[in-house]
Amino acid sequence: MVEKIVELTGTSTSSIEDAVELAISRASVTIAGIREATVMQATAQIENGKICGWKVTVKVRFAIQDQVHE
Amino acid sequence: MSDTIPPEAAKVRTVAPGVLEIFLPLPSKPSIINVFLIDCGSGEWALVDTGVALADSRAAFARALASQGIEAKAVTTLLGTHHHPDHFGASADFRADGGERVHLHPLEVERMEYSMTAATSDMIVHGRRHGMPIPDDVRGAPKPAEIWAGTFQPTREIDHLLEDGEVLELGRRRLQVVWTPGHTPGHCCFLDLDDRTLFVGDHLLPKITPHVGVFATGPKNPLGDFIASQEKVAALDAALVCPAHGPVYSAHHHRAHQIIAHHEHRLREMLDVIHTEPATAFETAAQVFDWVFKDPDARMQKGAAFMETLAHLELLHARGDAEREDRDGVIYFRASA
Repeated sequence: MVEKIVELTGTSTSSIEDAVELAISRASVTIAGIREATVMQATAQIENGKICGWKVTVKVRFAIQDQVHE
Repeated sequence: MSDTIPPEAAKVRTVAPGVLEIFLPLPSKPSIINVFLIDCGSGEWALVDTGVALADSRAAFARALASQGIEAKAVTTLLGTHHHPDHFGASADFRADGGERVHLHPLEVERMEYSMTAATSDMIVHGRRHGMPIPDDVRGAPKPAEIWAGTFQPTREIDHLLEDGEVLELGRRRLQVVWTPGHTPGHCCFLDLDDRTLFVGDHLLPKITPHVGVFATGPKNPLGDFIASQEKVAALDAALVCPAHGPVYSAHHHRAHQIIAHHEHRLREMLDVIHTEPATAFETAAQVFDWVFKDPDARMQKGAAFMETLAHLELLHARGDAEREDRDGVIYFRASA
C-alpha cells in the first residue's frame, strides 16, 4: 500500500481541535479515505492580549485508491 | 447571425443512444449551458431546457438542429428543469418555433411570476434584516426582471405541471420526474427509466455547486431541501448524468455525497464564525467568502454569497446548532451552547 500526504492549515476561533476538524472536513470533500492527520504546528492568534483563534498545520495521510474499469 | 459566437458554442454531440447534447453560449459565467434533445421516436424530440433568449444562443441552437437534420417543429416537448433564464429563458421561442407542450413544476411557475414582477424593495428589506449595509438613499438598483433583461423571454402558458414521481410517456420514452428542491423550489430532474440516463439541470453539476440561497420570499430552509434532494438523487439507479454545465459523467452517488460534504464543511466554517460572537448573515458571509468581499467588482457575487450564507445559517438553526436573535429588526445568529 502506498499512502499520500498533503499539508493543510485550518483556522478556528474556538479551539485547536476545531481548527483540525475544519481542515479535515474541507479535505474530505475531495479526498476519500483519510486515515490520519498529524498536527505539525499550532499557533495561537492574539488580539488585545487574549487568544482569539487557533491556526493549525496538519499533515493528512490517505491511501491512494486506484480505480479499475469494470 | 452574430459573428460573436465562439465556434465551440454551436457544438452538438451524441451522449447516449438518441440523446443529443447541444452547447449554447451564455453572456456570463458559466459561459456554456448544455441542453439535451431526446429522440422520442416517430420524428418527435423532447428538449431539456432552452438556453437564454439572446440572438447568439438562438442562432447556435438553430445551427445545431440544422446540422442534425432536425426541423424546429419536430421538437414538440419542452421539459423545464427550472425557471432560470439559461434554462427557461427561450421558452417563448420554443413555442414560436412550433413547440407544442411545455412542462414545468408549479413552484417554478410561481417563482417565475414573482421574478417578472418583483420590486427592488423586497431585496432591500431582506438585506437590511440580515445586516447588509444598504444606504437610505439607495436608488437605481435594478429590479430582478431588469437584471435578466433580454435573456429571459419565457412562455407563461404551461401545459403540464410536473409532479414528483410521475412518469411522462413521451413516444417511446418513459421519463420519471424527480423533484429536487434546493437550487430553486421546484427544480426537477428527469430519469429515463429504460436507458437510465439522468438529466439533472443544475442540481448535480460535476465541477461546480449551484447557488442555494434564502431569498426575500420563498423557502426558509432551502439548503435543508437541497441536501435532502442530493440524498434522493444519490439513491437513484442511473447510468449517465447529463448536467446543464460541465461534462456528462456517471458517478452520481459520489458527486452527490461530495456536494453534501462541501456544504457540511461550510456549515462548520460558519458555526466557527458565530461561536464566540453573534453575527448577522452579512457579517458571516464577509468572513467565509472573504475573497468575494475583497473584490470591488464582485457586487453581484456578494449578494449571492450573502444569500447562500443565510441558507447555511438557517439550516444550522433548523438543526438546533444555532440560535436566532432579533435585535431591533436585524437578525443575528449565535452557535447554540
